[in-house]
Amino acid sequence: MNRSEKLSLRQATLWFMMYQVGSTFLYLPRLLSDAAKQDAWLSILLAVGLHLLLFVPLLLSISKQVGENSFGRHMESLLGEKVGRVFMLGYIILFPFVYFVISLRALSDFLITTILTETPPEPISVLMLIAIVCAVRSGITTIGRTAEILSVIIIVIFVVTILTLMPSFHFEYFLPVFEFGGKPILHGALLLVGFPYLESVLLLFFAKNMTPTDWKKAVIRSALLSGFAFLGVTFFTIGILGAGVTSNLTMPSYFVTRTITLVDFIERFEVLVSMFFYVTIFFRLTLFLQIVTQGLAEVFRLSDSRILLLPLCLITLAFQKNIWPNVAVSQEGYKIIPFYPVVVGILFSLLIWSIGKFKQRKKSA
Amino acid sequence: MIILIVMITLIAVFLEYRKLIKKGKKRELKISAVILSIGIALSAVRISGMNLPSPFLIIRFVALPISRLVSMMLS
Repeated sequence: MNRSEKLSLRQATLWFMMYQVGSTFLYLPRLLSDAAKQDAWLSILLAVGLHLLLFVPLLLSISKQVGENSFGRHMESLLGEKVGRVFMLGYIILFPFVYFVISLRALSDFLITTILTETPPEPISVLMLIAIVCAVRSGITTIGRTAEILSVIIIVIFVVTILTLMPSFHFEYFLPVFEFGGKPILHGALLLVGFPYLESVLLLFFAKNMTPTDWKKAVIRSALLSGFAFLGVTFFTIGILGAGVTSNLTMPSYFVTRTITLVDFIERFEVLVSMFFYVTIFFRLTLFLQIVTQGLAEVFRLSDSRILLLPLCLITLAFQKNIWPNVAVSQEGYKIIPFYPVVVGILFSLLIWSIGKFKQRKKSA
Repeated sequence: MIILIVMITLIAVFLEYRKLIKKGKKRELKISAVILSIGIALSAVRISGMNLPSPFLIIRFVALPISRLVSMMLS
């Protein structure tokens, strides 16, 4: 991996935004309306607020401690060389790699239940893996440029979908506001904070590819942009289907676009949404695989991480089938996944932050 | 299906290894070969029809208690 690879502010913002929109996009309205009913949109505002006010300052403080180092080297300087490497290896396998496997499964789950119903899951995963391996092999800068190009498509699809949904929008589906009080709204917000905002701890791996101010801006802006996307999709899904129907559908943001008909002539907008999902999950998977290879290369002191890509993909494919038996089970899974980053996100970052502070104080004393 | 995928991956990996051997990068070669053999072993388990443990179990183990606690407190 070339150390001098740089990401510009815009590239990083768009990449992180699409990563966060990634797999949450399809399931989010269901999760939120299940927890907060018609107040789901308030949950999103609360979640973005919590993320920006509580978690982002912690991340910024850690990124200051990391400084010019790479994240892996920083861990070694905190925990000692051997312990740091073992810890890092475990962390990479347990967090980015597991999420990589699960996100790939989410893609094949989506396609075989909606569009390619007769296709076995393997070809879908393999085709996606080929694209991801090509992207990660070409390096971070190339991925950043790809994000710039594809984000235009994403934004156009988003705007077109929202505009065509406008005519069937019902404001009365949001009334009464605060029907069940504050607790369900907080519950919904916690689901969104865990999946995907707490995963932002992974963005620390890219701090060395940018200037500190650019990194800070990219983290904040990407959270705001993805929050806006979540707000848009949840608002329109509930405004058209109602909170009750939304919480009963597997993929409400996909289903809602099937209701679009313009003068009985322009229909089947759902394929646009699957394109949206396909592109965003591509960036999500790319980010995970990039972190896994980069992290492993640091742990094992490799000068070139690209040689690890194909073996890792083989392991991923082997695990694909057994993550969950079918899509119905995965729905229960998505209710649990948001609480995993409480440990690998909050506890982990609090741990390295406090060790870093302790070491700093020791040095100055 | 899986056998085919493993075969193609192996061919691609060996093409990469030839380059590495020419450059004399032994360390990269060793680590990559270890991960590759894990991958082949796992694929072999899948081809033989046995079930691998799901990576989701670890998430379930960690997150289910927290999830229950939160929904108990907030509902």
